[in-house]
Amino acid sequence: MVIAASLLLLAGCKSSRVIDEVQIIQEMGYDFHDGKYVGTAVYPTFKQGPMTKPNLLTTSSPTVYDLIPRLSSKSALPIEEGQLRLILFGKEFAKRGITQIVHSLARNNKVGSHLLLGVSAGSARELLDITTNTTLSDTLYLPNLVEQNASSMNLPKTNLHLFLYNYFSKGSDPFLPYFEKKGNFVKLEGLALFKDGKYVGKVSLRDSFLVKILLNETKNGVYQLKVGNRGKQGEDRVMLQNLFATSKYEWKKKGHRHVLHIFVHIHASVRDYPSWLDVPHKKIFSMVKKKMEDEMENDIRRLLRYFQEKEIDPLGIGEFVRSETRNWNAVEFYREYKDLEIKPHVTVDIIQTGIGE
Amino acid sequence: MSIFSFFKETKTNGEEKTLQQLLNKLRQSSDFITVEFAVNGHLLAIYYFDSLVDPKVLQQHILCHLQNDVPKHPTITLEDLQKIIPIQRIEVTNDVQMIEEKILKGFVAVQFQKTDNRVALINVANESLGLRPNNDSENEFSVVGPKVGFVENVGTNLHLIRRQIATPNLVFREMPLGTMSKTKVVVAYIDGITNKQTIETVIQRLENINFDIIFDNSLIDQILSDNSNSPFPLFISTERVDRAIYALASGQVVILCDGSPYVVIGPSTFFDFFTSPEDYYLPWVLGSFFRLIRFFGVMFSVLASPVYIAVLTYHYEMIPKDLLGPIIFSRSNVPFPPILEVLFLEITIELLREAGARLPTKVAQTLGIVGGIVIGQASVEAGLTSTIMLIIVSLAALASFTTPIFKMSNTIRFIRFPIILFSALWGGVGIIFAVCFLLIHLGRLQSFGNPYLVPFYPLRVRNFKDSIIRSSYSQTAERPTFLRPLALFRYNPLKAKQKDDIDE
Repeated sequence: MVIAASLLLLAGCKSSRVIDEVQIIQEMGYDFHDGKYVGTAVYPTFKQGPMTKPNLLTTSSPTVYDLIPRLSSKSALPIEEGQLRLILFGKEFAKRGITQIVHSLARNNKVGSHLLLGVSAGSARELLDITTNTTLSDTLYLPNLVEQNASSMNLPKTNLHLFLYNYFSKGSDPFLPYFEKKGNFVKLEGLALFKDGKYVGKVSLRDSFLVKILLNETKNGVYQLKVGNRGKQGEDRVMLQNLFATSKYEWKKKGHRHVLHIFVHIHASVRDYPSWLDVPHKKIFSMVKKKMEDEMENDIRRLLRYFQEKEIDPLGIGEFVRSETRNWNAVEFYREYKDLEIKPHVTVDIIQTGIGE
Repeated sequence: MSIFSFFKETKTNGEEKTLQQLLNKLRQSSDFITVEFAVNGHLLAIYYFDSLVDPKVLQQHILCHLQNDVPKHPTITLEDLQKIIPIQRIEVTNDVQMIEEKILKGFVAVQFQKTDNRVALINVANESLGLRPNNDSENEFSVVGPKVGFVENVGTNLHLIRRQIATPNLVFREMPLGTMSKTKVVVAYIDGITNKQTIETVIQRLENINFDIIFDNSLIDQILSDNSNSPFPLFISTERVDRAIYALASGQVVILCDGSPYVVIGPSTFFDFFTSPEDYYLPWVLGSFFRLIRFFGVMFSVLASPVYIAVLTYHYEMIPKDLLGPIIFSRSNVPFPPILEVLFLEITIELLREAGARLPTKVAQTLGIVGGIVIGQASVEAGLTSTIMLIIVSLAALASFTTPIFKMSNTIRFIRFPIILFSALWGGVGIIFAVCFLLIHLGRLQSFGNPYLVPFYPLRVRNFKDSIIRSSYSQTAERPTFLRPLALFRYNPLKAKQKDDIDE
């Protein structure tokens, strides 16, 4: 009994972190500025009622590792990163490589794999500053923005888990949401592409829809397509609302070279369309459908060309090929990847037009 | 007072008393009456305790007949008293022990000659004096179903049982217990259904009881218990007649005790404590649903506040982002760590419950309102506790009261405290640790030698029909097999499943 009690009491000396006695940081920004690393932390304060007020803490250091300890020296309560929801990298920082941070995150058992990562066009600090000033009570403005766009718009799903998977896998490269400062607002501007943990380029928000449908089955996203050459601005475009899109890859051999066929099948509804299209005529309809498919194939070809030029593989084509071939070799494959023939085949099925859900 | 007839073999009972010594001893009490009169040359002496006998019966059936009829029969002996006195079972004996026992139970001893050692013992005990004639099952209330509960008088209780089980197989075995109280304890079972070994275990344990006064059945419950150090009750004690009868019908043993409106049912399993007779009066879907709610209530009641402590003290990582604000805000004014906050509220609620139980009903209501609303509200405003904590603790208390058996709901409220301590010291690991301890303990418990966690441990898939869910009556024709009943079926299972067409 005595032994049991002393066991309990002695082993219970683990330092407790009572929730209101720690400084919970919810967003973190990393920048590289004038040869120094700058860390920015956003933490909420809950003193004025159930509404939260976001606050900023900034510090700079010559190394990445002691940013959080240095932040502690500016904080009244111990800083805890267990509730981190978003980490934002400044573009300069991202270009120098985010490997150190990612490795540390991969080993940190306090942060969840739902943690979101992002890249900002300018400095991360500036962007976080904007969100703390423009949003009244929301410390989670950026994470909510990303989640909203991933679940209903063009952004492919991203989080720490997926990032690490793509980062460590030999046959694919990671990508992250890309933000830009537009006046006093933060705008999602597409995807930032990484190669070996370094920022190498970006795709626009429109194109990130293509990335989204090429990655997985999706049920959302919008895409504007040009269907005619008539007249004024806007008159020749249709707005495609994705209802259900699937993609299938096929790895074929043609002579000595390989060909990658990509079959994309989109069930879509056309939300808005030019007035001249408003004729229930089969011929026009199939013409439009054909045009849309051609345009989309072109776009996909263009996007993949871009990836091939940059020698990155955010779609995980390497992973797909690895699953199809024996003795797959990353070095060999990516030598071939640069000028691999990729043939997209798009089928668009319009199931709804006009207003209708 | 070490005179205990059925314990003679183990007791060293030296002094062998004579009738005269006994009478002298009894005369020390002023309510011990000796009536002497001469009839027909006999010097009749009647001995009884005034406080135990029914005076009406004594006058009309004994004194009257002795005075009028004895002179008509000049050669009357004690054995012939049955002919003139209209009272059943008159016994003639010279066993001093037995005479003492019977007189103390309200018998009248009739002696024909002062020197004669033999007396006739006539039962004129006033069984119902000072006892409630009826009892509503107030503590185990059910909206549907019979409301008659057991009373303090064991005779009435036996009647209540016998009235619903009209079979000669229903056996009542009576045995007096308590060296001083000589309480009438009755073991009831249905012969041919209840396992013989179980009956033997019960009888043997009852016979081994050595105690002075049996105040209540719960004493027997505790003494019979397989593990008296466990906080868990091992036998159901109920005041509901239907529950006792259901237990008898499924092959359990019921122990009744004079002076207690509760009966003890054994062997019981852990899950028996969470079934209410009302489950059987509602359609099986509803019955099962409410039973599941009760199980959920138990889990919630035991784990809610420990989880709250563990999360707030050690695992802030796992709080959903939308809950973070409300939790931190509600705790921002509280100066204590979560453990003290929880203990403060839990103890407040225990105080309220204890005070409410001890006070008269009308005061208790006021107390509930004062305690519940005023203290709760004030302690939040004073910054002693957080609102979320208040909600969790009171919900947990509420959930613990859903258990139909009072003893079990006490246990549930009690085992919360060690888990709270574990969680405060070790966080989530501590909770797992404590729950493991609890499960190991439960798994080792036995009730009259029957495993306590059956049908889960040991696994008896067949008996799941009436454990966590209450199946339809077409499925429950089988008695629980872990009780090893001698007859497996309660009713014909095929006929129960058969659906008769209305046109037939």
